[in-house]
Amino acid sequence: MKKILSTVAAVALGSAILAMPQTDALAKEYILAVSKPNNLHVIDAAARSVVNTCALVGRGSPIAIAPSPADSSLAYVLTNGWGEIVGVNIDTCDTVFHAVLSQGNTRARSIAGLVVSNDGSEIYVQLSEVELLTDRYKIRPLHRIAVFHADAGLDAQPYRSFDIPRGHTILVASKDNETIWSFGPEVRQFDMKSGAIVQEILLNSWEDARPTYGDPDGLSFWSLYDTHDQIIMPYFAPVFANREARDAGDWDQLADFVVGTTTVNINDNSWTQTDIATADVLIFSMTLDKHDPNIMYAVYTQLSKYDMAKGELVGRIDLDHTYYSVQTSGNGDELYIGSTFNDIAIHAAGSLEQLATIALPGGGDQGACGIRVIQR
Amino acid sequence: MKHLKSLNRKARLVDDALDQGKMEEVRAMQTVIAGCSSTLDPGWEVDPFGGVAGLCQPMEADLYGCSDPCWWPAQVPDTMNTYPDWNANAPSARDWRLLDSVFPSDDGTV
Repeated sequence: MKKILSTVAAVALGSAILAMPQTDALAKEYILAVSKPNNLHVIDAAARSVVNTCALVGRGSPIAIAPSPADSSLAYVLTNGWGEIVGVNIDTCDTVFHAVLSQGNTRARSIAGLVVSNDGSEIYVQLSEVELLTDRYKIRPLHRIAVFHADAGLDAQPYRSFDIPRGHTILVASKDNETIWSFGPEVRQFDMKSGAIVQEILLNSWEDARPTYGDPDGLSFWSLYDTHDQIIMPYFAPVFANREARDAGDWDQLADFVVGTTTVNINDNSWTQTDIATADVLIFSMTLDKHDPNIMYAVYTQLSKYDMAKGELVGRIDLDHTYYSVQTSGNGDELYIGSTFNDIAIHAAGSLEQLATIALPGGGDQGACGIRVIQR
Repeated sequence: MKHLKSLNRKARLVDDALDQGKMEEVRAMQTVIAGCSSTLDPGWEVDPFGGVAGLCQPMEADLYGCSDPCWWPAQVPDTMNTYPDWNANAPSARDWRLLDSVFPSDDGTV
């Protein structure tokens, strides 16, 4: 393997792991997952069992779960054709929040961009809007982030909004509750109040920074940072023999095809962008080892384990079927794997062996929605 | 483009983008053909390595993960907007045999 380690960025990952959230020894850990048609499941991770299932209002197809960081009994789900937000109490299943994103003749959809502010008071949602005119659909050139009061009730309306460039998907609030990170072809950090861009991480504009690299594919569809406060966005990129070959798009001079990560630490808002290894399997999402900052895990049809410092694959197993999302357990010993079909798989972080699978009631698929992890 | 004439507003917008040198601003997944709305793939896509071994296993594990976001609008109905109940009888894609075709209604609305 030709290892290319081109770190383009801010601070070493090692220092960041010291700031990982500490797990309360008395708290229990729960996995939140959804399934069709429109169910939110609460799973006791240690007991390997589903302890509650809430049927959400509406026609379904949930795509994103946003737990309230301030109240572990509340979770918000982007659902109903990706056009509504439903907030529920996960103990009683009472609906506590409901917002329809479309307004008038403007149809709004959100592609997985939902987050609750760290104080639990505001809900931020990314909107892609189109105006339905009598003779045509007029696409709004910018995307919007709409902001709701979390206590706005069952007919919630946004009380403010700000524009962002198109192409953003998931939203993540920084721990200082000052900014929102948004992920897409480029990664941007926005001031929560003004919407001003605070920081940009360029992914499709490497040009001089990586003169032999072609345009990468970045994949950001899942908010999977619950136990380590770092959003890890994998990318795949062709590497050419030289800049001339890159600029000419001469694929006969392809030197490597690498997988790497753009990683944002929401504690100090630092970031790194680093190749991992030659890409030999697809990866949809990644998570971080809580004991060793050099170890990352990646999931798709295989569960892979990478040593970032060495740029090496150190473990891999085939999974029962393809999954999209992976989270590290609070104690760092296990990996929770979800999305696609209707089960959650739990694997040992050390050996990668499968420890359990948990079937979701009702049998409906999770689809593209990622899992979330809470302690309470 | 000199032999092609734009017939509708959308096509003229493409012309405008060409004239303004903005076509390069359109970024899809650059290294793999995916997203049939733009490519009209006749079937499933290829993986980034040009083969099919890297696709989801089994293939139907990926069905709703792709069709919910309209990733497959040319192959399956648009459940986000026009045919929300298309897969109501098959909440799991393991039951893909229960999925069926859809046809425009008599009034032509969908």
